[in-house]
Amino acid sequence: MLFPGETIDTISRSGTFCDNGIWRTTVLGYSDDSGQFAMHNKEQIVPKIGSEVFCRVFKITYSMAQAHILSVNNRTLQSSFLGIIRLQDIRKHEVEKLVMEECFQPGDIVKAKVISLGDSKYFYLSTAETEYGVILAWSKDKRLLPYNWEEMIDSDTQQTYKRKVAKPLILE
Amino acid sequence: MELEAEMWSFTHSIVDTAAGSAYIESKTHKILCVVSSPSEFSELLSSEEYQRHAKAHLNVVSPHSSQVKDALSSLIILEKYPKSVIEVKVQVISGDEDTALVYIINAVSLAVIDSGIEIRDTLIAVSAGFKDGKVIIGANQLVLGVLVNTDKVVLIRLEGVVDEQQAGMLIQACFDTAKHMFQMVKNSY
Repeated sequence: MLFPGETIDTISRSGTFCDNGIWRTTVLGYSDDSGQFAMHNKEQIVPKIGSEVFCRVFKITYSMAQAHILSVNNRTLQSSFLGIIRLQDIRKHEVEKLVMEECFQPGDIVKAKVISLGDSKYFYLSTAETEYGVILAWSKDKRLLPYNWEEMIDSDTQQTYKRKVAKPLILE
Repeated sequence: MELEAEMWSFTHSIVDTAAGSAYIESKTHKILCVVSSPSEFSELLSSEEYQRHAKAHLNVVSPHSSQVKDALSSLIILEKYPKSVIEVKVQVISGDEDTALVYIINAVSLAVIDSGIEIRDTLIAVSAGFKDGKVIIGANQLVLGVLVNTDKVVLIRLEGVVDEQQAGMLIQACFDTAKHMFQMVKNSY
């Protein structure tokens, strides 16, 4: 078992730190078969710029949606962080025609990307790619399904609701 | 160099619900430390609100807490956790509070290692002092927090007056003992 601060030969992605040109471990771990440094415990994560996050929208205004960030890079957080999706970060084209109620509603689960560490309260998030946007939404306690990039549908009543919908992953 | 007090034994991951935890037991003290995951830093609470909430808890701010905080600020790679708060809670279950610092620092260090929060090096604290002209490990004159692999000091507390040569002897004894304790911790993890 390698303890924090011990020198290692091979540079690994996580759990290591360069101190004056010498690479040292920063967490408990061990050298695995390929000589790489493997961490013993789970990594403690916080949202970083470029991280993919899942968040739950809890409040919308005309210019921004506020959300609790629940997971970072498919790892659930122990406690949520606050994030904001500004109107101009929802999509790339025709931003001036956007209306917040047609993109997100409180309760929606949204897949987004962290674009900035933001201010003291909020991380800044963006859904301006096809794979980002609303993943799960509900209307009157009924789960809505993705219909197209701007609509979700209630499968029983066939009624559509406007959202900025994330492109679903097609599993081969 | 003689060991006056028996060294300490420890258990890690003792609290399931916490990110990291450690329990240290010696002949004189029992210390439990719990470390939380980095969580949101809320600036919403003003200092007045903190004081109102603090009345509901048995929260005693101890002189040790600022020293623990300073040691951890140098130890944890804080740049990896922007906008986050890491809570470290220490409970001195039994033992005299004045001589507890050494065990508190070791409990905190092991709990932080257990949590997986990234740190620069392993921190081991040792105390030493002079008795009848000899350096005794465990005497509570000098408390030194040593980073065992990079040979650095993150915590130092000296009571009383020593001259330059005596200080050098105490510090050297603490460094040697810290490395010895580190091997003990490594072997029993």
